[in-house]
Amino acid sequence: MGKTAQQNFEAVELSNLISRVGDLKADGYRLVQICGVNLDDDNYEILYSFDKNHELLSLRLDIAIGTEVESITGIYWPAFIYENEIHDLFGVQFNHSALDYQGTFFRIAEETPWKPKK
Amino acid sequence: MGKRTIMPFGPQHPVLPEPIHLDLVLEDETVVDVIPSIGYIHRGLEKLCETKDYNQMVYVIERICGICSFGHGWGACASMEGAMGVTIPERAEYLRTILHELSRVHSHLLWLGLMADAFGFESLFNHCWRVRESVLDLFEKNTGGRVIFSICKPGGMRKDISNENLKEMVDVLNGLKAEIKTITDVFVEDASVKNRMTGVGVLTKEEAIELCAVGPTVRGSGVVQDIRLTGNHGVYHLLDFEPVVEEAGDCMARTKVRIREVFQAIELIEKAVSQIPDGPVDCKVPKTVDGEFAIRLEQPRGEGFYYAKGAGTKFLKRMRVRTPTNINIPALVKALKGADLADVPILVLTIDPCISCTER
Amino acid sequence: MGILIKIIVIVVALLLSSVITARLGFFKFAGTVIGSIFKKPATLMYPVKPREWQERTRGAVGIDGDNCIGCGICANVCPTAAIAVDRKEGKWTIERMQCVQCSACVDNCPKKCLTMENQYTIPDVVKVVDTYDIPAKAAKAAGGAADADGDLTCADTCVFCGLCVKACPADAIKVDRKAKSWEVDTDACVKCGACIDKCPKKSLSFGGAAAAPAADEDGDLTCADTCVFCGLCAKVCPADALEVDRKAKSWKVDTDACVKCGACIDKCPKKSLSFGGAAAPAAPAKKTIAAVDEEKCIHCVACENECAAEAIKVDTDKWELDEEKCIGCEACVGICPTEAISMKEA
Repeated sequence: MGKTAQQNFEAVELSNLISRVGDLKADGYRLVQICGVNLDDDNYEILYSFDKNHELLSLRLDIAIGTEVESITGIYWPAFIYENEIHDLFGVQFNHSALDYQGTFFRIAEETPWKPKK
Repeated sequence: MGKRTIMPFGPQHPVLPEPIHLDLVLEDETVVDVIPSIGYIHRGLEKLCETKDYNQMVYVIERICGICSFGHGWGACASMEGAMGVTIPERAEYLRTILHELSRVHSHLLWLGLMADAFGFESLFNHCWRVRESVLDLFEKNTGGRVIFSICKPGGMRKDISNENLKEMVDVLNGLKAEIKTITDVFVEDASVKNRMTGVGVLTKEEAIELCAVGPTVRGSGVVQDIRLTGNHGVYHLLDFEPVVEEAGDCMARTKVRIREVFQAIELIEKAVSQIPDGPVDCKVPKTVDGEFAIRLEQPRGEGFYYAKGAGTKFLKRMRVRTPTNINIPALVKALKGADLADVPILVLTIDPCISCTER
Repeated sequence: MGILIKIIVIVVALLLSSVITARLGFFKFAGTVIGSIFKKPATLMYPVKPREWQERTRGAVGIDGDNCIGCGICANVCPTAAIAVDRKEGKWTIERMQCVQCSACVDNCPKKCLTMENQYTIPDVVKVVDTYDIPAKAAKAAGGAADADGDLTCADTCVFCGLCVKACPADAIKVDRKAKSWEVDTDACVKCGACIDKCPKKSLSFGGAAAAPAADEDGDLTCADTCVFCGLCAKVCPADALEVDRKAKSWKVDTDACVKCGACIDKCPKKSLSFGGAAAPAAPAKKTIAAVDEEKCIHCVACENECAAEAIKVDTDKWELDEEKCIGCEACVGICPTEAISMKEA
């Protein structure tokens, strides 16, 4: 490789998620993806990735399962794709979403199949 | 105020290569709103990382999609190599770049065929796919498979491709150039094709950036955005790579971007084959994966994002694949608003939808 | 004749008009379409006409059943669980429709008995399952009932010689002679039993069945007069504790390095070695003896000079072996300049 892909991971809290994402938008960052990771049976991580001038920056949000997260569709409208998918597969609730399909986005037979079963 | 109806587009439609469901809210014959829903070919492939070790996961991730198969194989291997902290030999990087560009040629030829089919030009569709057959034969000769290649592994490549085979690849591709030119000239110059595509589905530069679109969808609107410029995958930084950009922002501009990328890919392959060093094509990798790594590749459809998180065992904790069509769907939803019903198939195809990639 | 001329005129007119309209941007593709009428089809009349297969095509998995050791590594690495190995019955099964022809099994087979054939499995209306015969393996354990369900365990008799590590096809065992530690990665262990066969102390078993009583190791390793200085003991010693000089007719053991694993005792063809100098028993039946390829032999006499057992006689056009004297040490194989000698079964 020419140079290794820079791994920039930054931790973020529920309380300052929206303000941090807003800062990135004002700075000209593009939303790359949002991903959910089951850390263990009780904890969960959401990874938000952003890109500017081909440099990747990721925000890591660690929450307990069942926590409700503020939607970033107000800042980045295309985030609805990822948030609806995470809601349908993992069962995370996103509040104040600009485009909430309420569980009908992903047509699957089982509800929240990737949520850890207690 | 016209009469509003809701018309389902898909999941089964003659122009769609893969099933996506779009509920079109129509006022007379103009689309006012679009409600997408996916999940017809959701196979839960990412969840398989819990039961299949990291070597087997490469085969699973490769099979997410038949068109972008090499990109997925490369991305899965590269993210695992990064998590393990392994650097692969240079010849392996060159081979991966060459095969990926060949994959781009085949993918764009496939898309050109589908686009022709979308506006009813069946003979053009079949000729595009006939030319694509020579590319698939090249794949079979060098990797063993026409569609799924299974040639990338964590640590490099499973098999080496001899220099004679690489030179033959270049000769075959150069021989195809004349035929590809005849076919693509029709797209760009034929009067009826131009009528169907020019001025349709315009995405302005600001809209494309706002919608976070990727790939030829955004490069057709004048935005210079191509992950190959980062130099962090493959050997593009050694091949004088310049992204292909068009300004108009309509369907014709996106088609022109893809056509020029086909010729550019053939040139990149030729350059890479002339520079490829000799040497090993794989290296030793540890038996467990610990750590996390995110890498992005420029797939034929745009930017693909691959993230591997190891758990200290041979099983990965998470393997995340975000494919370009996933982020181009909001751009599609926006572009469809205000379009005529007759233009909907053209618009849906113009983002090059690969729904099996989106749903995994 | 008139009809033919009319047809030619029409075709030429079509071609000309397509060229002209193409320049104007109308019917640009007409030239190619009309040309296609005269070209041969791009498709192949498959399956009536056979397909030309490429060398690297991944078509279907084939097995050379005789060489299979039933280790089960292929079944472990298969991403779709298409392969099943039954060691007791001696059967290797593959579900053809489950196999994705990734060739992971072919790459990982330690005996290289799997191959990737370059033709696809013939389509069928039922899910094809193919079964092949492989050598059946008896239940594995030292001296007693095999608990094949148990994990691999090592008894106290272990001398940390490391022969099991070398025998393991899955790299599942780790031995540290200095630290006197032995550990097995039970996830990697495929329960093939190769280590159990190889262990000179019979310390290994599945489920911890009792190990056979250890050999008498009160004395140091000694070599009796029957030694022919063939050097096989030195080759097999995992601790490099033996030194044999065939010309000087000397045999030396470094008793500090010797771990008393007994591998040399097993290998010695003259049964000259023992711990504490026990009497050497009669020579056992040989496993292999030397044989020559007469076309390659140049009668240079090097093998006769090298033979420690004086079993070879070479004349200007003859090569003779005294089968009784040959001890199967393979020294002649190594010295022959034309690689004319190989070992064959006695």
